[in-house]
Amino acid sequence: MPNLVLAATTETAVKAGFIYNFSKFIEWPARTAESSSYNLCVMGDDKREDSLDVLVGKMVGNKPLTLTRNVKPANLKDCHMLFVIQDKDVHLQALLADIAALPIVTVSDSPDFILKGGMIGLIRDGNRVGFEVNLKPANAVGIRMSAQLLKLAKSVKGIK
Amino acid sequence: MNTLWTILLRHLINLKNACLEELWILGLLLPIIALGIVGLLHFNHHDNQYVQTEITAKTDAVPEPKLGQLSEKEVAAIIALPLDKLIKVQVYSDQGYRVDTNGADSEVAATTLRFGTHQTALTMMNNTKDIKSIASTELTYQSKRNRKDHTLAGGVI
Repeated sequence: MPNLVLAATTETAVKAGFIYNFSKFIEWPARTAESSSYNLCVMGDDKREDSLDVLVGKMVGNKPLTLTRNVKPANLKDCHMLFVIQDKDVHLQALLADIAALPIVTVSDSPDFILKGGMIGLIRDGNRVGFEVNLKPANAVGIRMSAQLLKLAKSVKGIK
Repeated sequence: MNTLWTILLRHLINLKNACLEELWILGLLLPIIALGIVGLLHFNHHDNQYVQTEITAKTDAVPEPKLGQLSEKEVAAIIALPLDKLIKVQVYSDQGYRVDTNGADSEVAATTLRFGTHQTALTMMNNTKDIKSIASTELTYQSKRNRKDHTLAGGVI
């Protein structure tokens, strides 16, 4: 479809809304909760992700949201949430394996993201944007997702 | 002493006569001075207008969203939606054709974003070449229209 650029432009605003809203339904382990800000990191080609700028400074709980674009692997440990933009240059499985032990909520619009070990996959469902959840990697690092969030998900994997 | 008063009086009389004789100069100078004051006030007023114009220009200089992009306000409105509303937001992607003013067909993509009672419609050219083509066409058209306006207003051209 030649109109992908446009679709992405409008769709990303909705996706940014999802990304912000997810943070309200997630609990991080205590050591992550100690930081003074809520750090949203972005990896991949983020030229089409201008919508995320609107999130900067918004409060997540009692912490202001900060945005780190093109996050370096060394700085990943400071992220609360990592949004991996669908990008051929990002090797998802290798990335997810590297951060598997860190309490970072991974979100991506890449196809089959949760099957590759990601936590939240943003999916296009007809004319709507939805999300699917994989609890297994979240539970492994002490991240808790609320029942309300899971109820709104299109599908949930990894329920014990 | 009397002589001193006489001299002084004579000079005063001379001055009076000179003033009366040269009154026409005052008659000429006064309108010029008045015009000068009015002119100064006029220019001062224009200075203020320039300042106001500058402020207006700055207000207008707020970047508008590019074609196909939502404005920051619209994005903020979407982000403010709760999760249960976000999953109901519908993003439509339809393709159509638009004929621009130079007669060339340009393929456009239209996306309508609907949520609740709000609706935002967007159109965008498929590639930069199309955007430039339309932009230049519209500029040309505006330019011609402006010229026409000048002709009507001033009758110069």
